[in-house]
Amino acid sequence: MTEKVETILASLPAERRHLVLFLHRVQQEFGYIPGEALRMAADYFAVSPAEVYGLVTFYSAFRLKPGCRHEITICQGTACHVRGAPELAEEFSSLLGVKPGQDDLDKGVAIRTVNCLGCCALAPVVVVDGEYQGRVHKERVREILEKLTGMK
Amino acid sequence: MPEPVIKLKINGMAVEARPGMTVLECARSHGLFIPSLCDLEGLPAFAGCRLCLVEIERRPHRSPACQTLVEEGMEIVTSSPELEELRLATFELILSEHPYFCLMCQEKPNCQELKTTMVKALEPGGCLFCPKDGACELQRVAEYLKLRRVAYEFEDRGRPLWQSDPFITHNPNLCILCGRCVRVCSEVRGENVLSFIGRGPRTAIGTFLERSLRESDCSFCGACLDVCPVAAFSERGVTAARRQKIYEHSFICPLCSSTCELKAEYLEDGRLRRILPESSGGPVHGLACARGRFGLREIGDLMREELFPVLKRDGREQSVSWDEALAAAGSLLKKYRPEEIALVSSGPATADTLLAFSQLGHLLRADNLYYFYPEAFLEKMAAFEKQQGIEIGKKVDFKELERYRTFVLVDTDLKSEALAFWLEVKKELREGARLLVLDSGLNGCGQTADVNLRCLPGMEAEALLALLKRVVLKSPRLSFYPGYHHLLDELNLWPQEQLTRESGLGEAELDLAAEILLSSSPALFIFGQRFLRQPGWVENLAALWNLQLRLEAGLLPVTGKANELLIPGFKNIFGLKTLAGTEEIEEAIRAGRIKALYVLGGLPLEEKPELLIVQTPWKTGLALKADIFLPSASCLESDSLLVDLAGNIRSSTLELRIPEREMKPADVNIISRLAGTLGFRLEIEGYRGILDSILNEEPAGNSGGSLSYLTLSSILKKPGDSTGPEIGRAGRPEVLEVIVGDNLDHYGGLAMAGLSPGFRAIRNPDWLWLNPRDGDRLGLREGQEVALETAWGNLDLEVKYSSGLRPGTAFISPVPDSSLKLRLYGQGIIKGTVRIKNE
Repeated sequence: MTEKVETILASLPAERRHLVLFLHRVQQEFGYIPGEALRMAADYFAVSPAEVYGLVTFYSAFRLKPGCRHEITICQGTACHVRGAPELAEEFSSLLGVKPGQDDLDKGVAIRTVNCLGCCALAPVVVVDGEYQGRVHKERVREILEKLTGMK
Repeated sequence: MPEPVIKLKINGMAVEARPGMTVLECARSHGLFIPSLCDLEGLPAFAGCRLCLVEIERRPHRSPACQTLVEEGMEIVTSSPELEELRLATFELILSEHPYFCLMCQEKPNCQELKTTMVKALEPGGCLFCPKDGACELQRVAEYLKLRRVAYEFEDRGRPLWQSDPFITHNPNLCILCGRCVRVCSEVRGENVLSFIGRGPRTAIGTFLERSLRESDCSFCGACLDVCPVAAFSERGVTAARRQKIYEHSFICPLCSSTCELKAEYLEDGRLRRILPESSGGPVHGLACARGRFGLREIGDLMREELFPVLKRDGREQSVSWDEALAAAGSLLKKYRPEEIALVSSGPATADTLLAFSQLGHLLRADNLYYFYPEAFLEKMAAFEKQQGIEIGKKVDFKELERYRTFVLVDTDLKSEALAFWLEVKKELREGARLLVLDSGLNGCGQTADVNLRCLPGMEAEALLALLKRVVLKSPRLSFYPGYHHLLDELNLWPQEQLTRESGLGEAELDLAAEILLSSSPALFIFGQRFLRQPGWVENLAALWNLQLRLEAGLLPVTGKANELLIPGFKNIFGLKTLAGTEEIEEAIRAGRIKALYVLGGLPLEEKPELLIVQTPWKTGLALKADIFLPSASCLESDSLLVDLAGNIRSSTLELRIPEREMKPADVNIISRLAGTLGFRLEIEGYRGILDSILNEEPAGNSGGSLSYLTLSSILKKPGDSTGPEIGRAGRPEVLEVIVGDNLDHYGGLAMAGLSPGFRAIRNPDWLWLNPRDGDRLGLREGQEVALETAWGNLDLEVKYSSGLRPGTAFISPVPDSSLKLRLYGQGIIKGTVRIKNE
């Protein structure tokens, strides 16, 4: 683990503005951000560990625990909200039987909500395993889940 | 040049302000109150509470006064019906998540008697249980805004309290997220322990991975307690004062050379309530550390105080009056010939106490007058100066630090050895000064440094030479001090790669450090006791001297205790000798050369002479052995007169009178009365004059010393002579190089960690600091009890990890309370093997 994190660190200049990019890359690599990676980032970017932790907890897109194989992120930003994002999240919830933020370990799917993904023109937006899907309507939820669980 | 003045109007009143002032500061300086909860003098503005919003002419929006700078011709309104309405609405929102019944309860004045409202909300409910009642800043704002109701139902966050740390409790349910603790912790103290965690309604104050403060490298300076406007951070066990009268005593902390001004608070029944930094410049500027505020409180409060002297007659202890005890001490001392009497002073005593003690010793006979001084720091330096014909001990004024652009800490952890001085340095770092740390041991300042050079133990001289070589190569300009050409020739004897390899440092980090030294000058080199408490100390000093001379930098030794700068003067005047270990005195007792011993403070003594007189505030192990025990007042209840590390005299006068509390006599008075029974008179009135003359006089026989380069080849190991990497480097892997650090956490013969489990939890003198990699390698885990085997004996220790420590190196900082520890102290660096103890 340490070596992989070191490689990621070495690919970035030691300036604090690259911290978020680092966190994304670590999450991409491991599926979550291990505590040790935060500590190493603090050393490398000369930011206090507490500040790194503050940053990583600020963004709901970052996870600090290993989770499920699949991850569905439902945007709850203003544009998505008015186009029915809350109902969308509810549909995912009821079909999987878990609340956003919880993991469904049986099906291997985690759903989470984020505050804005920045692509409001596509609202409502859902990210399925890193793939952005725009204009997702309630009817497509079952389809998305079947496709995912069928992939298992 | 007169300072420019900005003219503006506040509430129609023409006022003047300095450029750079905020509107809030300007209003306050003219006696105007603007409510605010997040602003605090000394902290960067945050504009979080939104209570200080003001109206400014020609600005469309209301602006936070704490973040708006004054401008010429500004017209400001600080109070209007609209503003107050807005503030009240904001305040109500703040209160929706903070128990607010205590702010508007009609029964509040009768609460104590009627106790009508025991539980007003969930924990801690109302005013009765809130430790901040009476000092809560919400109460002040509520009064100003005439709060009568809150539009929202109180929503308890239901978060767990932080209770796993000693001394400091955090209740997240009371927090108003003003961020003062975060700012003081990172911006002022540089601890960086606290941060905002999460976002939106889930935001809270937290630590890295939400660990306890103990596991977060918190030094327990307590600044968070001082700045919290509510009771979110509160000192464990300290309840609100309410209607109790609080007695205060300001004193100068004698426990290190920073000499912080502290304030002890006593309750009516004479119990110590708490110790705070004296904060005339606002809570942010009041300085205290865990040692002064919690350690001292713990020993002051937990140690049962003896009020009267104890006399041992025919093996039986008897509490006697002061007159009787002093008369007995005098008549017993008179039985001995002067050369059979020894006087030993140890630990933090006030300067006048030290003077009286030295004068008494001088009057008795100067031969056996000692200062117990395991560091023997200034002695070594003085010997070196004399031998080389140079003068190192330049006093550096705290107020002149801004002229230095780089600070180099060499084997000194300023954070724990002289916190106040460290914070002065930190101020300069915020202004853009650079920081280099060169240390083979554990250094709390390392993570703040631009370059943290963790060299191999005992290889400081090589590291300094490696820097010197780089400086000379990168900047080939001449130095006009004598001996430079010779130095250049000599440096050729040490190949660059050899120095780099031997120091154990990397090329890149040394290059960067040399670059900083050259580009950001002048530098101030600050070195500590560990630099001189190692076998190669002469080489260390010589290398440091040449480097600082080439850079035309400043040089400052950091003394461990207050008053240390007086010791050379006392040596000259009274023939005071220093005592680094106890063997010398124990040997003299065994041989019958010393028969009567008068100890001020504590001394790890195994032999007991015929007559033992011990004078200390508490009944220590040594006091129990004494024939006469003279209980003196501690710094918590006496005048202070101390000399800090820059040679400034700091003093305070006792004005504490608690009806319920009998006061003990101060050390200096006891010594003076004892001298009286011996027929001597001490001229205490003239002591200030003696101190002034010692501090102002030029070092004896040394007219400034010469500024010339030292010939390294006569001082340093000959090139090629070096046996190269040894123990822990290429030797047996289980052998560690252990650096013996300083420990100042003791007072009057008592170790704070010995008496207080809380203090032990945060600063255990029996920790064996290891790099986690070494721990894994040796099959250890944190918290494990181990024995450290050394050539001088074994120490029982507990494994503690820090990644700030160089692998292969261990660090201990024992309280010097046994002859074994004193011997290790004298070695500075030892080799040790870790053995796991049977569990």
